[in-house]
Amino acid sequence: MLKAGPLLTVTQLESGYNHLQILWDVSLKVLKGEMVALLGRNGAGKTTTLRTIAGLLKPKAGQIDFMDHRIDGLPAHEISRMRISFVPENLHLFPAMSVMENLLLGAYGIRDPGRTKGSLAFVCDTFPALARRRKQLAGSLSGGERRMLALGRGLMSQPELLLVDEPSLGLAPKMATTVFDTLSKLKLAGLTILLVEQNVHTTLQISDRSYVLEQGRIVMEGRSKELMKDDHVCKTYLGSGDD
Amino acid sequence: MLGPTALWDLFVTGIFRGGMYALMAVGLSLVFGVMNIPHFAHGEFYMLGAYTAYFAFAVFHFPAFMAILSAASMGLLAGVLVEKLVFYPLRRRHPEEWVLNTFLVTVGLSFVMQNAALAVWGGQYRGITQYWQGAIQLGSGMHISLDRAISFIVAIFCIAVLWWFLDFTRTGKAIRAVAQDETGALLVGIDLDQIHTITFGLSSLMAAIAGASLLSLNPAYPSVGLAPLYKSWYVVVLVGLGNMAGAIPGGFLVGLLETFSYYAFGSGWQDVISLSILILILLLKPAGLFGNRGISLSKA
Ligand SMILES: Nc1ncnc2c1ncn2[C@@H]1O[C@H](COP(=O)(O)OP(=O)(O)O)[C@@H](O)[C@H]1O
Ligand SMILES: [Mg+2]
Repeated sequence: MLKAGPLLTVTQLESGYNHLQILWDVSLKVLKGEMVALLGRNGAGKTTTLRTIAGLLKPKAGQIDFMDHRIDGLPAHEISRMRISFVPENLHLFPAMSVMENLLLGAYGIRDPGRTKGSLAFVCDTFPALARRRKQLAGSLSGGERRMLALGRGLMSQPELLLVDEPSLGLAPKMATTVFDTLSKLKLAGLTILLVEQNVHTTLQISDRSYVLEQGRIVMEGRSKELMKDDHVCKTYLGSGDD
Repeated sequence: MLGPTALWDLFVTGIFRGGMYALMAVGLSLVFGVMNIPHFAHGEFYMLGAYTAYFAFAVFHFPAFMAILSAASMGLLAGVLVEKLVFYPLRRRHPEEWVLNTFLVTVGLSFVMQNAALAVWGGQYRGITQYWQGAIQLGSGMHISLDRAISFIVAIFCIAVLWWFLDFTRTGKAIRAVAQDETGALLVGIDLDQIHTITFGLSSLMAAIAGASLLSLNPAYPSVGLAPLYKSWYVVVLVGLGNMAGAIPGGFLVGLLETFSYYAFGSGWQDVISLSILILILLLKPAGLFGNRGISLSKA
């Protein structure tokens, strides 16, 4: 494997909502081509971390670097145009638009029709169900399809880095497996992914490295295979019947 | 009883008024749907359009279409300026309590713009008899004055162009995206500030065109925008707040309703009738006649 500098570097990030600080000291790195997982209990601050990287929240302190740019404090639409795609937990689709319109808006930052066409072909190939429902309104899709659409829309901009928050949330086990398979395939195709997931077992299996977040602080990091054998991780995250 | 000619006249008057109400209401709906602003200074852009067209046509002797075009440009310019100077800084500094604050701001803006007009142009009526002379004969005594026919066509044309713009252009789609999910719009790379400016500019442009087109019916004076403002709010509440597609049939409905109740009950009663019907509809269907479907323009 090629030894490359980190694509994303988060350094001593502090963030939160208005006067409520949630993240106290979050530092992490994502190398090009890696799938990195961010684990932690409900309320640990995983979503807050992703929202801050994506520019939806302004950091209170710390630094975020992406490729050669410092991106902390930039507005979300500019970060999106630097080819970081954030697929949030609650999707934020455009419900009264068709699947196709949602996908094409995903390529809003790409002004080249040729490249947009290429993206569309790739996304339809990855999610055949979306291609079949391209004329249907996003608001009328099933939960699984809506999640596929959010992922597809996120891929339309041909991102360098994909931030994904709880992609299997609320999905039937079969559908969840499809989502994880898709993420693995995308990684194989060269996409860099920072993944937040409740399903710790599967996440540790498909990711290269993981960080564990507790109460707004990174408390552990390592290769996912090794974390699987770690006592603390086993007791706290794998013991409680996560399939 | 009404003869066919009188009935026809009432119908034409109702439909023509309706076209203008629709043009005004679509702008209100757009601003509410995209920016979440309950816009109570919309009438002042109508007023600005009326004055601009008056000076262009009656003082500088521009051709009629050029006069309406000047009004449109003035509306666009004023709308963009107001957004940049008033709403943009407010959104930056005080995004909380946005709906209430912007309501108060637009009420204040309306007051300021009316008084500025009074200071600059005085209180007298500045009207024209007509842009275009002549009438279209439709046989057996029925006719439409060319002036009204053309201003109606202008209104319909503007609404159609707006629809096309929102449905098919990149910026238009971005405007609808912002109305449907602001966070989603940010995440795909849409610049909210830019979309807000364009939206407010377009809405003001349409109000100015309405003011310019109706100049021969309603001369320009500082508070000329109040009546169209209330009428368009009436339409918007009637069909459901933020329902842009509904604003069009709603505009025509209100235009016809008003004209016929004016005929049937005499002046003074038309507002009573209109408001009673509004209260009745809101009691039966609190979300408005067509409910709130956002500014969805999809055919499905
Ligand atoms: N919009 C918000 N306003 C205030 N507090 C919030 C908001 N969203 C989340 N929080 C709080 O921030 C903490 C971390 O939330 P989050 O980042 O969503 O955790 P996770 O994704 O790890 O479950 C929680 O205590 C939550 O209550
Ligand atoms: Mg979360």
